[in-house]
Amino acid sequence: MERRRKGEGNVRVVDVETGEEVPISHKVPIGPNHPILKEPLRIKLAVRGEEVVDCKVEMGYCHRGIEKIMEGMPWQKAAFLAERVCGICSHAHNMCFVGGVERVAEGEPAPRGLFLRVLVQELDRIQSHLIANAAYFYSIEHETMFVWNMNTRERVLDCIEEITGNRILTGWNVVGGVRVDVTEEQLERVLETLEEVREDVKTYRRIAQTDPLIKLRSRGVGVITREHVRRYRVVGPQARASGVPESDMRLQEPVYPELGFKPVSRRRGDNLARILLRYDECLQSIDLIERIVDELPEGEHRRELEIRGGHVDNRVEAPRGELVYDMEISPGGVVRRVTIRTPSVPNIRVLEAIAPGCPSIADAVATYASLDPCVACNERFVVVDERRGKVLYEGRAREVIRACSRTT
Amino acid sequence: MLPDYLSNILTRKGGKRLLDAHSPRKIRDRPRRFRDFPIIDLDRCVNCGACADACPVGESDDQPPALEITDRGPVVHRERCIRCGLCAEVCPVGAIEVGALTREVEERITPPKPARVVVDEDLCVGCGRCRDVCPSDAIEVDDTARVDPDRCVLCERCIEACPVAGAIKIIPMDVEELSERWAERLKEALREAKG
Amino acid sequence: MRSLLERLKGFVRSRSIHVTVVNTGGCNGCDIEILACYTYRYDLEQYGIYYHNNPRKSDVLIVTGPVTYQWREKLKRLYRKVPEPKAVVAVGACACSGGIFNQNGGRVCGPVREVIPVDAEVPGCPPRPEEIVSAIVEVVPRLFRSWESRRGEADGAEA
Repeated sequence: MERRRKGEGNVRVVDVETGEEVPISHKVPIGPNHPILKEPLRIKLAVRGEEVVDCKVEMGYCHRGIEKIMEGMPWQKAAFLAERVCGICSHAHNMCFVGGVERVAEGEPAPRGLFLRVLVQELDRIQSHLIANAAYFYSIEHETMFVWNMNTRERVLDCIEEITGNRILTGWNVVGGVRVDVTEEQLERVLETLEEVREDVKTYRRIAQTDPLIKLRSRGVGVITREHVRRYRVVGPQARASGVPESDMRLQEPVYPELGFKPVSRRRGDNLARILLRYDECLQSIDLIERIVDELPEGEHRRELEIRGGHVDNRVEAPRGELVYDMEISPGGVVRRVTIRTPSVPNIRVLEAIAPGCPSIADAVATYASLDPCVACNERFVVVDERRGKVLYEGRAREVIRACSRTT
Repeated sequence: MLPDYLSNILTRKGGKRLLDAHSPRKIRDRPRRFRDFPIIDLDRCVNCGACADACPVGESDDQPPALEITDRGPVVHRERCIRCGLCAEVCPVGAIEVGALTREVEERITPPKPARVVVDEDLCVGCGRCRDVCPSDAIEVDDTARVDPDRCVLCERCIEACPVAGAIKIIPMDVEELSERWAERLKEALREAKG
Repeated sequence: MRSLLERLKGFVRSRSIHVTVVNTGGCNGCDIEILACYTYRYDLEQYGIYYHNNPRKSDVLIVTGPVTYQWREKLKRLYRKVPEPKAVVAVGACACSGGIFNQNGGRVCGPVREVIPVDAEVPGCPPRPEEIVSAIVEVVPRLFRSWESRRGEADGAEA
């Protein structure tokens, strides 16, 4: 059922088809600081009894001006800044930025460096998916699964630490390859740890599939249809859980075709499908890592490249979906202008479409958590009225969408 | 006699442990490539400023940059530092230590310099300004200036200080010569490792 | 000489601490490192520290992130909601000084200590969980143990 708002705020909710006003009993604002939210965001719900009638997402608490700081920085510094757009999928941001600079450089990056980069990217994907599922189980108050998922994530972080030296915000990629080479013993230790992680993830997937309580809360709640995917441009695991496997950008990245990569997908598109799809992808990532270690080419891990500059548009499949860096690079590797489009913007916005119709407020909250929201990614946008010198919008979602549709 | 564990509890130390939640526990060792806050060895530092140029945390209106060059040498502001480790990578004399990553950086053979500073003897007037500004004492002046290529850190301060335009030049090294030098260094490193 | 009751109060307060984590627009990295403190390996709850996230019931605000302009007034309001005695711990380079975002072009309003009073700061980007755990375990009980005497001094100064 399609509904829209009329007038100020969400005081009146009007049904589009019949033109009748839908009675609401309460307005429930959630955020920007709230036990269910780890990041600042405001969700305004209109409810009738327990049923959610309308939902509005308000962003704008995280705007820091990253794109502006990046202007005029050499890539060595800007790579660290790109990493700090988002702490959870930090490696994807770093990789996307560095990959974009490499595309306007003379010569090819070192193949061993590219493979190591993808290795860390897959590890990063596992830990991000585990934390997303942990957040979902926390929001439906299944604390056991929350702690188990977080605990398995610690093991994955051990692997990342073993290779790069930091748990998150690794600073691992440089133009032409990676920063430091890895040794055989390190890779063996990583594979040993991943064997344990695989067993854990299989157990969690079995529990999520069979547990009656999880099924009761998750099956058929917050369904994203293919129509929603098309209208809101939902990307990443959220789209693949609704039966759109071709949304995976890994099909177009350099290393993955050599590994025989095929995206996984599910058809139902509800909360449970998204959770299970993330577990599927974790297992797939572990398989990919094993193949990477088998096929790791010998040679140098880093090459010096000559950057000739130009305009480039690089896409990477971050853990949350398609990530785009649209950049203008000067010769020598100085960033002239950069626009970042992160996957969380459409993924959070689709909540406005799927939350109305949830039978309870708690389900709307669980649906929000199942979308794997990452608010820190979203806001880098300001609209200023030059004549009055007044800030009109600060990182509001709609404006970000409009700015991004220009680049895509 | 009381069993050991009981008598242990009844002693002062054991009783404290029984009541105290702050039990000692083994927290995992730091990873082998961990990047800590940089520690700068001021004796080895030549104050060339390469670390401050490389640092991604710049200054703002009210805050200093994370790595600031002062009269007493470079100073790290810990509350600004993001532990990226770039300063240790760019330091020409290896005076900065950032945890265990430094070892990895040092284990690599120091590459030959990509350029060298050359003095044009016809133009040089022997004023000695370059010797005064050189941070690593690489320049000697008799009639004309001479540059010791091993000690030079390519900071280009001599070029700025020189009163005669074009007397001191920085020349990028030939690619073939560079690769030859690489081969020499590799051989040397292998010989050292065997011996 | 503090009375027995005051010492008892201080002891009890230092053993049961409820914390609220506030992300004031950072990159999430410090948040998930704090969340990692609740796993088995670091286990903050064994020290009697409980992750609560309701400012009206908590004793300690853990603030991460550079304070963005949208957060400034809201952070002050949040700080007023926390009942006395309260402590503020700023975690991460952003909260200590604005970090990498506080340079030319950035739009953040400086470190947390310029918006609300801060008792302890943990530098690093991000700090490791053991650094966060050791900072909270060392500093926060000490603040609450001496709260009674400090409050007495403040009352005496006012009178």
